[in-house]
Amino acid sequence: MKEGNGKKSVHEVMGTEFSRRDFLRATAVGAAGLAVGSLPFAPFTYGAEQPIRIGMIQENTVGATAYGYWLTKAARAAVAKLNAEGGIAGRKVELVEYDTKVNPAWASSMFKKLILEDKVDFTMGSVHSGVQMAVFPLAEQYKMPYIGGGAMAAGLTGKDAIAYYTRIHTHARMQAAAGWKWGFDNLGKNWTFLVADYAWGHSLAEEFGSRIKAAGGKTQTILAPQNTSDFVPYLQKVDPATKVLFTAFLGAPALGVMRQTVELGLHKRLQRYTVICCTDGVGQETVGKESAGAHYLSYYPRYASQVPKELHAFDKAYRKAIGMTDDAKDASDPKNTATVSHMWTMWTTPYMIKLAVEKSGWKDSKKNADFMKAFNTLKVKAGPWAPQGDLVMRENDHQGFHDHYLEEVQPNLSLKVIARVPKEKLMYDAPVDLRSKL
Amino acid sequence: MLPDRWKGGAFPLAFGLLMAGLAAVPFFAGLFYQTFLTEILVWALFAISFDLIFGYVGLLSFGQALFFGLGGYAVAIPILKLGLGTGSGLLLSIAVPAAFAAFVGFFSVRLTGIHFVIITIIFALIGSTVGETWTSLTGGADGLVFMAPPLDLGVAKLDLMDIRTTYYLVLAIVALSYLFLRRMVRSPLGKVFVAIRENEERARLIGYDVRRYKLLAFVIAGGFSGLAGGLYSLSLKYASATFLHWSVSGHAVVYTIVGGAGTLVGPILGAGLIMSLEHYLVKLMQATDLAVGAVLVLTLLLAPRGIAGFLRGRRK
Amino acid sequence: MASNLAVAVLNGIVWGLIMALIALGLNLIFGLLHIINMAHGALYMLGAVFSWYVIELTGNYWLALVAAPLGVGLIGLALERGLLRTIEDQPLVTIICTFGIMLVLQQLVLTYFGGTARRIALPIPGRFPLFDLQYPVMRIVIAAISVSVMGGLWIFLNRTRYGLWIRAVVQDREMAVALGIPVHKVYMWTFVLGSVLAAFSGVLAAPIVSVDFMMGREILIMAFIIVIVGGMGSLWGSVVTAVVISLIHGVGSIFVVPSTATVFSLGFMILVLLVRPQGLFGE
Repeated sequence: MKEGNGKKSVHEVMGTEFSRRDFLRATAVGAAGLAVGSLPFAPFTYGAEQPIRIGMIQENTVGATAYGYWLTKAARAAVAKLNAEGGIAGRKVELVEYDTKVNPAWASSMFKKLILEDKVDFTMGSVHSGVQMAVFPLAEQYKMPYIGGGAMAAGLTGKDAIAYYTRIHTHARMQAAAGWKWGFDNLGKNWTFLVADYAWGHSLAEEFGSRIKAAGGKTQTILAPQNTSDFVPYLQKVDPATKVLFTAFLGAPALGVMRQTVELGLHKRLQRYTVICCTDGVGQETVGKESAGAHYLSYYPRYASQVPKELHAFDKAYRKAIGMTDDAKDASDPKNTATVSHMWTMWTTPYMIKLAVEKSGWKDSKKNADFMKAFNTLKVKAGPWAPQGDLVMRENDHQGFHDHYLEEVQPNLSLKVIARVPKEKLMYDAPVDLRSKL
Repeated sequence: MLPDRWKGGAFPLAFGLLMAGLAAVPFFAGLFYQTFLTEILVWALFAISFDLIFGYVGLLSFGQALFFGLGGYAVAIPILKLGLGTGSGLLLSIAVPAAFAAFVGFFSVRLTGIHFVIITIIFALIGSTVGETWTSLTGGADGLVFMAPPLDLGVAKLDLMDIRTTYYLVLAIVALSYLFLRRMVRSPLGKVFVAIRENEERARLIGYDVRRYKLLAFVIAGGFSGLAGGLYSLSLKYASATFLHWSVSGHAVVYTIVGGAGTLVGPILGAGLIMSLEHYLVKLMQATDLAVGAVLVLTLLLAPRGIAGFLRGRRK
Repeated sequence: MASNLAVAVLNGIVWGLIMALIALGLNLIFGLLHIINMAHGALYMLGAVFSWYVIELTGNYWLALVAAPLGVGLIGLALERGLLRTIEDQPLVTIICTFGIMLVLQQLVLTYFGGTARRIALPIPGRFPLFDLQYPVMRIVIAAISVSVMGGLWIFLNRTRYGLWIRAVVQDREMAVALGIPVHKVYMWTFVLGSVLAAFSGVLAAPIVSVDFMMGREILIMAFIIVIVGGMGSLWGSVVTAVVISLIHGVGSIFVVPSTATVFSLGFMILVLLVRPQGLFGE
């Protein structure tokens, strides 16, 4: 130091600037050198473009691990198949994966990493509505196409919708449109909704409930915190006149409410009906033999024997590729039940990305808007890539429509399909128009 | 070691260099690192505010998440539902949590030790229960998404959609907050805080109204926790009731302990270190909390005064 | 309404007794040793997890009820000897250290046991009619077991030599040392006992709530609150507080939304803390 007052001299500050310029110059020379030096290897690299990278966030830890495990399995199998069939537009497909920890703030950090650090081309995944809400601002800001994995809040393609989000699978409103009538006609006209006290639970109670009431039925809604472990205080509030008990919880509480319903003997006097989300990934033997007689609205038959005939071949190949048995268990671990109704989205989505890339001529992020437009007008026919059946995207609200099923738990605890709801029957008016936003 | 008249200049020099370095980051680091640093700065601010009451006054509160979460909503709700600006949101993110801290603190400072810990947790529990169920206001656990309007400073409008701008804004606010708190702990007020931490009885006997000082510290810490929460939700454009949960306070605790309590610099070090550790680990393992927990335990056993405390101890 | 009330009261008592056991374990460690164990909820969870493994292997719940707590007791032993002994006299440090241990234990269980909840079959199936509802017999059995364990604990503390040592150490540690009581051993075994109690309540609760790696998180806070509000060191205080809070919540839920009942019970606890910081039954 020149002076004793601890301040840097002008030279020293300038010196820093000069050396940074030197550094930059050296880097430029080095880069040029590398470029030249790589020319002898050119025959190997010339013509092979950058791989297409799909960023994926899933709930791998904390309470939704079954979903994360199976959706990841499906995604990896799909990408492997895509690459075996030539990739997307001749380019290899890579998956970059992060865990959301079922924590919207953490998921947001991971999503940022995918966009800014890993520089992925497309993003997909997650079954948690809060996580998806948290990453919406990022998807919008960076015009990053984000295809949801399995979050069921209606608002994601409704009041909270954004231009760069799309969803190929069902949600609370569609489920209500698909499932209310069958329940009303076959199970009873007086319903009680015992649901988790947050958006998803409210959504289901509201969507099913309003349709029941409009048809002349009676409804009662009981809210319980999502992490309730003792449901007796809530179950005892069920109206004695109720005929149908509709519960909606996830994870350990879902198991708890199902078992305690039985423990209190309620299954003897009322019908149990809910969406498969509460028990996807949970074998009925875990609930117990009294789960026989319960009904679920599902989006993919759990047992291969229940899959509609025209889809059998596709379903067989799909199960084999993923490593899932005909009774929806992990081929390598029979205790692990697959989240059959949710994971098919991760199998079909990479294929739909391919279709949309081809349709829009997408080469890089400059054409992301065209990609989104193309994706949201896709009509996918049943096939090896769509074992779930025909799927139609609606571009107004970026929402996909597909068939639903009614499944009943048999005395041997398997699930039998007793009705099928075609997608034409569960349409509803688009709540939002995103077409002008792209 | 250094001549006395140099010592006075040591801090401004170090601080100035650090600021210059941080300000230069956008010129040679990519967008991701800028957002990552922004996040570190926000959590560092939260940790510093915790250090004020824990490291300097000796109050262990696991309830600071209440103020952090409130700060987040103090920004999100006015912007989303009342059409207010970002500047107002930021000011509210200090004022509203500070007001709540005054309320919570008024009751809590009557208690000491583990009772204080428990009562702050209970208040945070009430906050998160209300936050999670009052979904029409808070969006519950799913949260609220909002677009932050540009921050109108009169002389310039800062576009918060721009990463670099957000980085500089957060850097400036956190730096100013740090300087403010540093000034405070070195002032006579700060010395009273430390006296209370060292021996509450004696401080009271000397004549200090111990409760009032604790309350003051609690309110100031609450305000800065709120500011951190506000900055956080601004950077994410998202606020959620999950930010109110008492486990979020755990972040501040871990960063402060590992970095070194009672130093103000320690929490910043702790935040940077642990968050960077998580960033690298996330590619290797999913249960990063495992590593964080292990680091916390090891720190307490091997270097209980944290990294900053350890370094300071060695210099003596 | 009558049946609602009856179920709420019965349920409140049952849960209160389960929570009381958990709180008792914490109270022993905390009230007597002044170690604030934030990993207590994790030990409760470990009890449930271990019992699941025992049942997987042997199919016997009652065996699990004995074996799992012993296993967790060993872990408690390791924790106390290995980690906590060096910091036992610094309460704030202990809080944070055990918080770290809690994180580690949770994540280890997540890694090896998995993230999905698993079920333990009701060892005693069956219901009995309670007005126009049916109430599971198992819950009554659990309450009875809980009461017996509490009784056993009381006998242990007040009628055995070891219990006498514990009480002596609490009252006056130096004097205890002077009298030749092996204080370190007392600390160690008390911690183990507390861990065993936590794990035991985990095994008791498991058939009702299912086994899940996060099951200790909410329990932990309630246990602390019960111990503080009941009075540190006062075992009766924990029992009464646990049952009272559970009743308030259960009965309250009939009349108001459960989250409001939660807020009320939390508010009640703040009140107690402010008016009587030593707790309802503490000195």
